Amino acid sequence: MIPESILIKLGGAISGTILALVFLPPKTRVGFFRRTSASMICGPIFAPVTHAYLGWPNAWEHWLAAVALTSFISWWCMGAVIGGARKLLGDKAEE
Amino acid sequence: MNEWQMIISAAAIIVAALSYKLPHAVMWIALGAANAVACDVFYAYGLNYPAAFTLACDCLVCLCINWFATEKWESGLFAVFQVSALISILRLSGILAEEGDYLLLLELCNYAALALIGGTAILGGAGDRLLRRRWRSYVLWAYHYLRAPPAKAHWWKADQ
Repeated sequence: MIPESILIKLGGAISGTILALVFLPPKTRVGFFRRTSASMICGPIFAPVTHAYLGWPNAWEHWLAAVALTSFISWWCMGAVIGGARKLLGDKAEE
Repeated sequence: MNEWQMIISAAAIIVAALSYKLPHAVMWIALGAANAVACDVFYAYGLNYPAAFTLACDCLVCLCINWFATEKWESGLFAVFQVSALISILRLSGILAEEGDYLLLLELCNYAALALIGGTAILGGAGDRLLRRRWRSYVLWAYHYLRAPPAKAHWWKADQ
């Protein structure tokens, strides 16, 4: 039996990544893999910070939403960081 | 089936009949109808979190459109379903507190999608035979704009 916390983290990370793919589609295949890995890893890791910052109740729905939101933000941040670094270096390739 | 569902079903059938020559149009209408039926059944059974289910269905439709879209009007359809997904997120987050408002906005999104598909098909037909010469060029310009390939290439075809 898989523990509930693992299921929530996995479900939240996948939901956040799919939402990000719908609302912020990547420009390239490499960008997709880079953003997906950042989203799937950083979502579960930093979810407690988001959950505490927003002051949500300690229910599984809110934890799922926190993981999904963190995954979504991680996806955006990865694109912004790589895109910003490329702009600074004068590289015209898109993320 | 209530009166709203009957009206939108009739609208979908009329738009499908108008746009059967438009590539992918009938496919997107069928997918949108399947989405609406699945969400209505989920809602009718009184299961928990119907907005989350609607969000998942809208995301699935968005991903399908993003994957198969070859023309600009399909990019517009993608944007309409993005708005629909956003409305479900607002409902889940509690910002859209009234259920009536939520259902009304979703219905408006469905009509916007049908108007986009039907409008593209009607522009093509009208440009071919219906209008006077002066308006014909504008109609045909709009039609060719909507039928042009999207501005950006599909991301899974671009390496760098």
